[in-house]
Amino acid sequence: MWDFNRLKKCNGIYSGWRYGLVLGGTAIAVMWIVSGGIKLHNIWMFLDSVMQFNLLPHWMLGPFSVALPIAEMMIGCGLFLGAISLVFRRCMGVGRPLFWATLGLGMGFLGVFSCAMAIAIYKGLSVLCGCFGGTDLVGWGSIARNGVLIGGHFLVGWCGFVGQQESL
Amino acid sequence: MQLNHKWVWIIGLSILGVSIGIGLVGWRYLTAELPQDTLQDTVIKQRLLSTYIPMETGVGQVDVAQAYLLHRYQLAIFVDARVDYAHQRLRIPSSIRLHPKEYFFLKHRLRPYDKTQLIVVYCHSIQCPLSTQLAEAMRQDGFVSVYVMHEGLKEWFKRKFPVESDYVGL
Repeated sequence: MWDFNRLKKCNGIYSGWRYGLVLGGTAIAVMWIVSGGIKLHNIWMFLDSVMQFNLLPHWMLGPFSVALPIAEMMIGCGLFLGAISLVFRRCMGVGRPLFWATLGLGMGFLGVFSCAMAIAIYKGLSVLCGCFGGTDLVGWGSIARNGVLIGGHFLVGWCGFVGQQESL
Repeated sequence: MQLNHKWVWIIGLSILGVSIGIGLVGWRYLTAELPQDTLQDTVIKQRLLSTYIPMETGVGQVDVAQAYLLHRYQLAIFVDARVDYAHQRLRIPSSIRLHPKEYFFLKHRLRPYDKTQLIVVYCHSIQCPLSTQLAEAMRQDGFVSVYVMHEGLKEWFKRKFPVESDYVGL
């Protein structure tokens, strides 16, 4: 079993998971907010990308291309607030579920994006990724990047888990 | 304090619900002034192009992403300003080769096209002056909408946009 006390007592202060949560959580939160913001800013470009994936029925394309960036920005904001709440032990009643819900949603989104990309690659489609407003074509590199981001979410989640153990 | 899993689900589903709600309302707002068949590809294409691609006449520049959209929707003629062997080796699909020094000998290659046709000229990379020279020559010859893809084929290839080659294996 993991001995969380050893991590918690690093240098005599509760530092490890806090830095992980603040830095990692903020980085991932900023990533989601920027990603959603760019997609909203370039909404027609993003809509075009979604169309090219050929996975959604036509009636869903428009609302989806608006809803997804909004959800991403909400995930970013929620993750940041949740991480801050865990670190500073404020509003924990809302902060903790907010943290885990947004973290789970973030990982779920990345998983779904990766599946969509894998299907596009399998079908041999030349699709603009639409990731971070970029204009690169979808490829295995995009899926690998999503894998790295999911790993980042796991790390932040682990820091949150350690912090949660302390607050019990 | 134990984590209440019920609240994790409630918050997660609320985020999804609110996003979907904003998506539905936002999409109605975005398409309020468009025709009812707003989900037709053509309408989306028109909006996309009018938002991202300059359609005014003259000599201008387009970046690789804009050029890709023009290429994908077959809205522009692509002209390769490089030399013949480079064109044979790697080019944007269905592009026409026309080196600026050979322009007055080979301009018949553009004869099938209208002078108002949108044209995108490209060269190897951003340092290459040939595309600008060719665009200027074409403008003087009467073509009114000539755009230079200033980042060149190098950036196009780097972004993994479609290319073709006369050589097997490239």
